[in-house]
Amino acid sequence: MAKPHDIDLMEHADGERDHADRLRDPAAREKVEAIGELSELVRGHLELSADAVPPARFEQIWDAIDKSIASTPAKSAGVWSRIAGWFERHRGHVITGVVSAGAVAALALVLRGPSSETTTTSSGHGSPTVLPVAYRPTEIESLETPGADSTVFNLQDEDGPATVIWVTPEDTVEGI
Amino acid sequence: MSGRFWLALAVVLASAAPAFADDKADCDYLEISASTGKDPAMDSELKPLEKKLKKPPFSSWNVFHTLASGHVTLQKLKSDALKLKSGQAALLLRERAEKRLELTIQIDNADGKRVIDNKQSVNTGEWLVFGQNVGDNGHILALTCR
Repeated sequence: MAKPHDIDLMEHADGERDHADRLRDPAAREKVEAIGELSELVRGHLELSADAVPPARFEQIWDAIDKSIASTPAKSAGVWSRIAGWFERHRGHVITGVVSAGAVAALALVLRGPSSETTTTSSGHGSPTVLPVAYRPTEIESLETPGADSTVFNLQDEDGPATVIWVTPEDTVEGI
Repeated sequence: MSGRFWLALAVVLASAAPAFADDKADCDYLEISASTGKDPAMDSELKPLEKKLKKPPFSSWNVFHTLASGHVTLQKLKSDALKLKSGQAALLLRERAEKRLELTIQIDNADGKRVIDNKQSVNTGEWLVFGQNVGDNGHILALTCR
């Protein structure tokens, strides 16, 4: 039988893996027992140390941890990162066309607005009748944004659709 | 020829005439600054865009002020400049149908550098919004033409 490695014995002592078959070796068995004793000693020492800390001190420690967790995202989430994050999340699947810097006017991007729009007519009582109306989306025939990237998307709400072209300077993207 | 022929010809000619023989488009524009402040604020002039400015990515800011606004009547194939507070913009009506406009929009930043050169075909009355980051703030030009 191959001599067991220390890492296997440590995993066994920690309960991460079962290497009981390797404990036939007396030296290995001694190592595992030694690890167990050492673990007990360390655990006991830490428990005693924890008991020595007054409860009020624990409250302070957890308050400090909670504050650091709560404040960390707010500090790091600047306007740039929020905007960039939004673009990154939507770049692939929303109505988006990304044009490289100085791209030649060759982009013919059809923005996917609503495939149909509806108008509602009502006679004043009963259910309204919904009539579909053909909607022709905005077509970007060409778009040049020298030295910058652009993102094209569509915003839709009750006030109607809007085509948005957002320009992001190349040199600032890398700094996000 | 009979009077009936002339009547029929008049009807045909009338129906064949384009709905928009004047080849004009009336455009309204808003130049907007976007920033972040302690308290949200939005000028009343921006009411038509209020819902859109509260959506991402614009919702990254909460203070929106009108830098400039105006109205311009575009003549077909005649470029018109917009009076902006920061930079310059020019609009060109290339073609128009009853509810469709073909526009060219060129925007230069405050340093005179071309930021956007765009041609698009858009429905009348729809908003076109062009934006760019200026530091942590945003500079937005919104326009709608009929």
